[in-house]
Amino acid sequence: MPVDAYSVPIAEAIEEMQDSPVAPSQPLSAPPTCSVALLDGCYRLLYKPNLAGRTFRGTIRVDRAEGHIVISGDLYVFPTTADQPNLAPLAEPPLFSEDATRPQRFDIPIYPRGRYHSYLKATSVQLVSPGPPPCRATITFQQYDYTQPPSGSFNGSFPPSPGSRTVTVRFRKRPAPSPHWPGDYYEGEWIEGGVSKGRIELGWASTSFRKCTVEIDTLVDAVSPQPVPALGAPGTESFQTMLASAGWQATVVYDQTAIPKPATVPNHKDCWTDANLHALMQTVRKAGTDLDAEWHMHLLVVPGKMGCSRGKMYDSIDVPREGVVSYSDDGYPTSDSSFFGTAANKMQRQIPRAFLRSASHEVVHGFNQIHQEQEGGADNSIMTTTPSVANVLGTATTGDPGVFPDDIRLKVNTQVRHHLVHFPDPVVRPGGHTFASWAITPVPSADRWEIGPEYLTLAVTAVSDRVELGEPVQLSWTLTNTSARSASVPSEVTSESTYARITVIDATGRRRPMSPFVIECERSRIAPLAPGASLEASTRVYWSTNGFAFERPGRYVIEVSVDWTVGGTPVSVRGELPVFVNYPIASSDNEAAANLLHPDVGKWVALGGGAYHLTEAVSRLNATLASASLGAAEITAGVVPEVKALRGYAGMLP
Amino acid sequence: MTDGSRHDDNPLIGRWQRVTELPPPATAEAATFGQDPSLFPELIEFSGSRYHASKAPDQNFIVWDVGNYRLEGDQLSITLANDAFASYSVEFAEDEFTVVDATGHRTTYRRVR
Repeated sequence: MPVDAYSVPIAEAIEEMQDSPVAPSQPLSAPPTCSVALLDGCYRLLYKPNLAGRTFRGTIRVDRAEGHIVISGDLYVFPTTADQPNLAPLAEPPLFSEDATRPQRFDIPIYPRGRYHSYLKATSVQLVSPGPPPCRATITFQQYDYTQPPSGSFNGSFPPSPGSRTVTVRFRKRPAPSPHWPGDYYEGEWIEGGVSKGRIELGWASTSFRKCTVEIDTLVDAVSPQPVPALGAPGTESFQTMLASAGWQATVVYDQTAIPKPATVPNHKDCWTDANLHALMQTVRKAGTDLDAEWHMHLLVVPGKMGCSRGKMYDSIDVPREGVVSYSDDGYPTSDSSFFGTAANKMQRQIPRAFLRSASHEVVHGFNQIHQEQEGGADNSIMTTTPSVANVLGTATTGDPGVFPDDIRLKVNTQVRHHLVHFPDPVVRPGGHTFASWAITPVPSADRWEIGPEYLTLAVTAVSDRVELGEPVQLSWTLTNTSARSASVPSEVTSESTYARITVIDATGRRRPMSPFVIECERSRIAPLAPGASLEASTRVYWSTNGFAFERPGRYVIEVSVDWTVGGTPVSVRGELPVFVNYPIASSDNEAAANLLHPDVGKWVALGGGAYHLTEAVSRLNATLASASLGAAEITAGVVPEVKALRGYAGMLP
Repeated sequence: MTDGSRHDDNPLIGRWQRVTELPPPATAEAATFGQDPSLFPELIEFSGSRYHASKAPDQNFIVWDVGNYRLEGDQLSITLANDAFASYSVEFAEDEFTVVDATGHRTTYRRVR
């Protein structure tokens, strides 16, 4: 799998096993065994490596609600000097501590996004061990180290399965370090490769797995969704109970109401733009909201009108997934479903159960969950769209029994619950990964056999890996058979043969395929390449029908991938070259870039020059050449022109 | 707003299959949500004010999945997987329509009979 491919690990069901099974030679009478009752819920985890310098804090989630045990966790890294000596919460700076004497809270911890270190996916657990108490438990994890995103970006990356390493934690029950500790407390060791690497502390913190705050602010002329009578049970259902169905502890704050219409919004009873919603959120949201200290979701309720789609997860501005909106005056038009029943053609504010469902749907979008029509199919659960829920309820052959809106289930289904409990923190927490990032995976390549350097290498070079803005990169690549046997490879590895694919990756990770302008695949075939033999190809990387390769100065990586199929098995060899596009420092550099970054010049380069029907290209190249104090022949001969961008056109100038 | 009862006026009503090959995907973060044509569906069916769509076998996620749409002149507004509306230019030819996204990429669908 390419290292830049996006993948998100997630824990799965595992079997509980007995630690150190009894040998058959032992007496028939049952030996004493000892079991650790590792209760469901969230545990605080502290890992102190033997080598000083860093301490890891985080959570472990033990979950048996799906009929099997599933255990996952997240770790955050801290310098040891700034840390507490044990699992107690990190000390608050005195300036911010409201009451230094109050007991520290030992509930579900929240750590800063920038300190996220790794995800833990349990692959086995042993809770029963031979011998008397204190009982020993063992959990084996795949640990997935997280690569933090560059500044201003949000999608960091995890390595593919099986992760960065396998670790085992082994622990026994111990007295808690504080009388305020709410549950069982364990101490043990962190083991890698059979070697103890440090000490751990593990303390049960909550029956919930994660916690969040939902703040609700309501505009003038709108009404907010309220708790409703529970379905077939006493009490009420609410945002809290909805999120509790996902194993989350929610604090719901109904905050401001009758918020005045912002002057910048022409009509608050129309559908709102994302920008206006974001601006209002920033104005009305609780002051001091800190996504590094709280998983905070902001719900705006505005009037809107029929046809606004009831709500949306609007907030991808600045920071992903901070806010969602619900339209109280949108509703349930019969054009959306024939099964809205008593809600048909009514507004959301008139149908409290359906309104709470729809607003909950947007809140859970905010925690990075997608429509169930795209996963397991439409059902009567929160992440199915409202009309599909009505259709499910109203279609006797496929749906759950019941009618809309009375029988709406205000719960997430097991799939969404599993995501919300076990996805890595950055994927679900507000301000973490962009919406649906975990579902938008680049071309799956797990089934493509990526050839390593012990068989074939692909060396990528350039005449210069530092170019000017507007200068093509003169790229070459060489496929070499490094094995001792003949290899079946394409007879040509040119871009035009379509066996070689060139992709330019900018500093933000955006991949721009540089598809060839001309296709010549007739001559190419799969043929033997002798041991030690090579195939070479070259091109000028500048423009394709996908646009310019280097639109702006800065860092890029050019990736070359040669892909073919042998005996029905797709195989791939890859190589890459970092390049840097210089920032213009003189007006002549700017003028050259302005002249040369034109699609017709791009086509001229893609065609290898000589395309005199591209009169605009000829004109622009001649104009640039005129300012270079050199002729085309001198540039082709390797003399460096005053306008350095012209180097990349050597041999193809008009 | 498209009125489902007036099918004759709405050239989108019916079932369509994408005929444009999917371009390679942008990274999840680089693309403006809804404007990455690699995430457009394989099949899409419009009816009344609703649509539902399905993925190609090699697609993991589509941005038009299920929701509402409006066709106003040559502008198609369609709800995305986050329930927000996105707008595209749309061109109709016989048995085909072509969506032009914000990147200028053209994606053509052909009516399935």
